[in-house]
Amino acid sequence: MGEWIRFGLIALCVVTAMTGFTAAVIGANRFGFVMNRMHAAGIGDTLGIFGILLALMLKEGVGMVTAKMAVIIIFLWFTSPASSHFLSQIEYFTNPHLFRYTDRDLTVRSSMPAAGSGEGEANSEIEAVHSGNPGNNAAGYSSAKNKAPELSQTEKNRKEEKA
Amino acid sequence: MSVESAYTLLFEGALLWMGLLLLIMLIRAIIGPRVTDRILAINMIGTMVSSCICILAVVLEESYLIDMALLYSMISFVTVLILASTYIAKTPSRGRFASEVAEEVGQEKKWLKAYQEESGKEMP
Repeated sequence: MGEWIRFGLIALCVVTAMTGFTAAVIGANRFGFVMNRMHAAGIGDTLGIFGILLALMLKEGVGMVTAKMAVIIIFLWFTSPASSHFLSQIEYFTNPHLFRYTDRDLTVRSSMPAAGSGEGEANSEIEAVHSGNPGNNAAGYSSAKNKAPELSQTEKNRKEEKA
Repeated sequence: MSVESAYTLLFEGALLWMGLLLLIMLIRAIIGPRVTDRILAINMIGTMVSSCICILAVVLEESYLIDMALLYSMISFVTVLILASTYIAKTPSRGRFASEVAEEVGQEKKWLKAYQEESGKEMP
């Protein structure tokens, strides 16, 4: 009977881990942008590997194999945030359309007019362009078609300011 | 039904399910629109394969497979690290916000075009 209770615990751990991996895969396929997919992948890296290795540790009992599994868990828990950080660095440095996916402006621009310096119309226009249109943000996640016209609109605003 | 066969059934079912998930992530790695999606998918495949190797180590009772799982996860991490440093070093923006650089380049092109239209000369 005690063996079956242990089996039940191990099965619970395995089912939890499979749920975590399934959630990670669904999230990585259903989200539209890599920063959201990163969030989903973190679930698989933490919950999935923890559940599987906890089940195997319960099955094995105390020993060298269990210690090595604990080392794997600790290693993956330390390296998963680090690799997410490097991935987001790649995205930040190589994607020229990144600010279209965000609600807020990510940088402080020197060419931007200071707040309260008049010309509220132009200011709000620029903010609307740079904030990636919070009104129809859902469309901005998936469609890559209307990127080029928006960018040229931004350039036009900038040029008018300079002139 | 003995406990041993129940364990075998459980772990084989987990392996089969993870094989299905690996196939889905492989498709995501192929169709990912940008390079970061592909790297992310490969990273997730590495995690899942290392847990598969751990399950196999227990089912087949070969304890050296655990070391291979640890090596696999280490190599998966180093892959992401090296790809990140390579991509950032090779990017034209080189450590600056990419959209800012794109806007600057577009502005310079517009100014150049306006100058050429006004003066009819080539820019030096």
